[in-house]
Amino acid sequence: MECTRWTEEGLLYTSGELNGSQKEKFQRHAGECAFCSNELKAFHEERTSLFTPATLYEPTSPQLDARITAACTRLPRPTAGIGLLAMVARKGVVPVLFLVFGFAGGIYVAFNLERFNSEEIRMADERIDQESGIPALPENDMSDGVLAAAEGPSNPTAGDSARPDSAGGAQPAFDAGHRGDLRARGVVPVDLGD
Amino acid sequence: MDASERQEDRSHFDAWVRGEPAGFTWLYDKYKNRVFAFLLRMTSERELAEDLLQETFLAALRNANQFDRNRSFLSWLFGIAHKRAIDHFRHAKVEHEHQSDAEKSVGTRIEAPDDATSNERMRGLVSDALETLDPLQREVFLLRELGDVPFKEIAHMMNCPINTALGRMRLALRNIRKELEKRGVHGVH
Repeated sequence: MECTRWTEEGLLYTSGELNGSQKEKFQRHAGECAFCSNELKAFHEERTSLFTPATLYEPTSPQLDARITAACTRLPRPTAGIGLLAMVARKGVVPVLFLVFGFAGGIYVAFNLERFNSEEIRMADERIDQESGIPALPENDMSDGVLAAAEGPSNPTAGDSARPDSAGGAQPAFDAGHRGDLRARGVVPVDLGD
Repeated sequence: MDASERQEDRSHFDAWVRGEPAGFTWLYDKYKNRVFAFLLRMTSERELAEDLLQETFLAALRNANQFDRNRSFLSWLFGIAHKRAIDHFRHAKVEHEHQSDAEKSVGTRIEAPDDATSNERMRGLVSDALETLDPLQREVFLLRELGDVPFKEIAHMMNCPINTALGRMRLALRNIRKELEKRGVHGVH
């Protein structure tokens, strides 16, 4: 009668896949079980007389050997280290490019955001001024005006002289000065009357 | 295969991967007949088996970084050879035909050796007995006896439980004995 332990353990015993205690256990069993004992004996005999290199192996031809040797010794060899580097290089190209471009893009945005914001604020100020009816002044004049305002009435001509349209005693001096300049350059002013 | 032999295989494989032809020659000479026998009996076609043998060694070189140093080189090589053979059948979509052909082609495609000597006679008898096996039983038997592949790995390669692999091996051994007895070889069991 067949013993199931031959298939379950006996074959693993022959292939050396049982650990120490399993091996001892099966050896004890084979000492008591006629079926397993016979199978084990037969298998060893078959291995020594039937399943040998002489009966199982197939010789290759010299032509085939030459062909395979040429193919297998001609290829560039991926050593473990270089192979790993090549793999990292291949797989790392996309992430590295992504990082580089992402970093560059971030820097570009960070620098231009400030400029964009100041531009936005200036445009918003102009829009508010236009809507409220206050004429926009050139930046230099505005600063002068602010300075003049800060200096106060102690020097009234400082702000007024810079504004051709402002009222006050500074106006004739401005006109005279300008006309003098124009005459010096050969331009004769035409009096248009009132 | 003992630990020192495995270590020797690994060092020759490393030499081959480093570009030393001697490493390849040593491994090729040692294992070519086993791997070729496996491929020839799997495919039953000499030319195809030769191509697959070349592909197996080339694949071993290309996939050198996948070799687990705790495993036997021969088992790993047989794993590659097995995969190549199975891939061939899958791509050619002739797996079914191959199995039925193999059953019919006892002693036709693989040349039977001369019966001049007893060794050669035995070789022919074993070869014929293997040809009569169910392809799955033959596959397990060849992986185990030629490739020294552990049953655990055979089960993994064949995508089946280990008990199925063990059962196929038991049936293969029983059927080989029966065939040999039919051909007049007695006294093994």
